[in-house]
Amino acid sequence: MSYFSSLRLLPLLGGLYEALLILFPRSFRQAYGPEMAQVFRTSCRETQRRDGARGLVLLCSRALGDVVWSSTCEWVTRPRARNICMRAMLSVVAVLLASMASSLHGRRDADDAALAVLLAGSFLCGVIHPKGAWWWALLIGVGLPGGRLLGHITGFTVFNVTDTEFPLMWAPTFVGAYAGAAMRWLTNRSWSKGSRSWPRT
Amino acid sequence: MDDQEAPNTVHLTPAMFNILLTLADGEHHGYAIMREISLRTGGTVRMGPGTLYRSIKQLLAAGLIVESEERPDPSLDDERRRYYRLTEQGFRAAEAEARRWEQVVRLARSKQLLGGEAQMAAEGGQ
Repeated sequence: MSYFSSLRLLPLLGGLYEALLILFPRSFRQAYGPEMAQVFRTSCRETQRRDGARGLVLLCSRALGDVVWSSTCEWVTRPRARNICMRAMLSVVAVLLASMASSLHGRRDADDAALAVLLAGSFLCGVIHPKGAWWWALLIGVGLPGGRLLGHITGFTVFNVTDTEFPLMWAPTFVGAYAGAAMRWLTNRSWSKGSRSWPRT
Repeated sequence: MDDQEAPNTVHLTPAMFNILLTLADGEHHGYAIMREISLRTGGTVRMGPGTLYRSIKQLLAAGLIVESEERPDPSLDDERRRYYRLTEQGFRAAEAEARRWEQVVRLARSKQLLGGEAQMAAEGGQ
């Protein structure tokens, strides 16, 4: 690569890097974007002068990996993203619990166990994420007939559409989820009271 | 808080620790931190701008570094550059992390895992 062509290449690389910064959340980009672009441009100039075109290619590939990795980390570690991840994971757990309750419900003399799973599962979800108590109750409650219907489709269980007990399954899930939320609220309250009364050392 | 006790609210990543080590010499701007780390580690640690500024953001949020208000003469330096320096808390965090690594190195040494000692022990065992 001639010196002249590299002179034209450097602004192009800088522009491309600035365009890549769109991968970062807006607040991060506004705070650090101009500095990051400046650091990249300076690195390009230094590398081109010291190592030539080969060094420049290596630098750009490393910078690309760095932008992808650090922007992903920045998105994932945002409080909102963390909340979404936790809700998604809890939803999976809730569906698994509902499936378990559904399989127990289909067995003879296992209705109490199914009820216990519904109550315990919704209570746990309510404790972990109290603001979404209604969602966990709905999800776990829907999971029971859902699981039975799936079992019917796949030929494992008999699904009776006139079965009137399924809507009643929401009663224990709502009770469980809101009991969990209330327990979490009470625990938080007693902790915050306790921390106020702790003596300062 | 005890003087020897370090703030334990922040988990220092290797990148963050390297930045604190660099700033222990005095205030630096982003590119200087990156270059210094690369030079000091013989090129084995090469930090990209993304990792660098993510770590700087976390260190600023934890109060371990601050943006320096004093700027060099604009005629001598790019005025867009921001300079960072270590806080007292940052100094203690770096010190605590360095002590932790010192213990690890001492343990590795006692187990003859470092340098020629490890090789000699391996040869002796054969």
